[in-house]
Amino acid sequence: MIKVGEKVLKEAKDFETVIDLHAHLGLWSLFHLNDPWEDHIIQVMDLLGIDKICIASHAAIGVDATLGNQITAQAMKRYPQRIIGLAVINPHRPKEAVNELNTCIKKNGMRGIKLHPSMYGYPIDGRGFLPAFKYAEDYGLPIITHTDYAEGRSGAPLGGSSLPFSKINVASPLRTVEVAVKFPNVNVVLVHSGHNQEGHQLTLEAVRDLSNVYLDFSGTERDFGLIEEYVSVFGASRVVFSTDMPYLDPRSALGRVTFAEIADEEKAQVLGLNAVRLLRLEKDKETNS
Amino acid sequence: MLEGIEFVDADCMIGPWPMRNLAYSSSEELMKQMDRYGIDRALVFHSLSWTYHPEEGNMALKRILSEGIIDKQRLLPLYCFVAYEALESKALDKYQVRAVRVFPSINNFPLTSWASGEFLELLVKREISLWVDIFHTEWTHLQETLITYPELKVVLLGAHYQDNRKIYQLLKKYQNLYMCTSYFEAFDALRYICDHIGAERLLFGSRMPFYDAGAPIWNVLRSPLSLREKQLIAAGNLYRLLGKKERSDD
Repeated sequence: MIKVGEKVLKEAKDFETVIDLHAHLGLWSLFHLNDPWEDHIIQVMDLLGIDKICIASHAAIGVDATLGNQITAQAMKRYPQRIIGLAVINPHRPKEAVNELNTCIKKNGMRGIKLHPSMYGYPIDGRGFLPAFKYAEDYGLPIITHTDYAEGRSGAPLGGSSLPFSKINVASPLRTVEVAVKFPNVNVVLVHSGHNQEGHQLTLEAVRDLSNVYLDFSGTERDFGLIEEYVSVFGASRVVFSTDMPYLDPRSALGRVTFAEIADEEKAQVLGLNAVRLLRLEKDKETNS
Repeated sequence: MLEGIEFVDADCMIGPWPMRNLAYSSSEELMKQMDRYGIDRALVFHSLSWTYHPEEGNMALKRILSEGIIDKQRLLPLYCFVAYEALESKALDKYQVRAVRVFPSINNFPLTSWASGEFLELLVKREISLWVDIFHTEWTHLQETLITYPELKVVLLGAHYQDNRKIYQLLKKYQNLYMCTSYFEAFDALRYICDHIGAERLLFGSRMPFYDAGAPIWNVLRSPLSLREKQLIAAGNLYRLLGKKERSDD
């Protein structure tokens, strides 16, 4: 709890379940990461009151899906109660997708599929990602996919990256929503919800009537009042908490929720209850009991 | 105060914005937001200094602060200048400043000794700190300023986590550089900077009204820092730059 004037605000530790739905693991080429491995990440989670974290390693999202999925699986084995793996596919190798997903999901116990169109320089609505959506539909898995928006600009919307963000808007919210329309039984989480102010507004317009689309507010473009607007327009059941750790500091996303002018019940949904539903974690509880 | 720590916002704007409606534009509305977040005071500049001309923004800011309908103690002015125009008009005398902000790319002058040297020398002479957003200048110009004017205290705004390799090197090499945390969200970075560079070089800021203030507040409050480190980042370093004592003691 923190006292702000006359008000007392709950923080992550005061909520029953806090699940980070989108995070990573490992080194990265573009910038320095301060010990980005699982031991440090778990230490930070303990400090801040984050119970579980969904990870797709950095290697998986933009370098080599198979290598990266193995790194994720190793971390899951070390912290099975804390780390939930997300499987990644390379859209340029669609024929390998089902095998890769079988290894990740059936063998290694990952609970969702993470896609990164920008890193792979491949449009989210292209044929290369179709196997992932079909697999998600068959097995009831959520798709957690990066979105960004940079109209008229080639290159990186994320700030001058040397990485292969070479295609314009391969991960735009509009394209992503079009795929979500084709797969109404697949829950799709729009990571960053378009990433910048223009992208956020596009997202708001694009997903109004889609009950299978969820909004993630992570990212450095933390528009003032964004969480309140999303909760007001879509309801708290459609907004999810994620940190993008260890790219970003998890305190940023937690601080935004802590100070957000929404009800505590809504914060509870955003911070964890929605993720429990999306990842089907209730079934684990039932099985364990 | 938040958990007994005074917070003074080092990156904050008031005034209208042409591109969209922002969360607030008036000083009264800003102070409501400050109350909501537990921010005690804010160093503010006026949006007209950015979008129109620094002097127009300065006059608007001065008007607001002299109106007397707001708690003046809570808002500290950050006046903005075009380097050589400020010399010609003797604007620094007019506003009695301890800190100035510049928008080199917006006002189309480079932050270099050939274009801004006399202005920067005057800042050094009068112990006035310089505030600049990296979006409004270039890394090489920033470095040149730091090395050419080692006694000039420069506050870097708009520092982005993806630039952290450049930022850490500049902070290590140039003791006259300070960084505002308002846009800097690198993983566990405040602890890292305090360990490798020192808490004295960081200033808390929100980037309101564009951005949410909860993130940078939580980065200070919930990072594994000592109470003294938190106090320095939240307010102490800014007060030192402004020549003020801590805890609002003017």
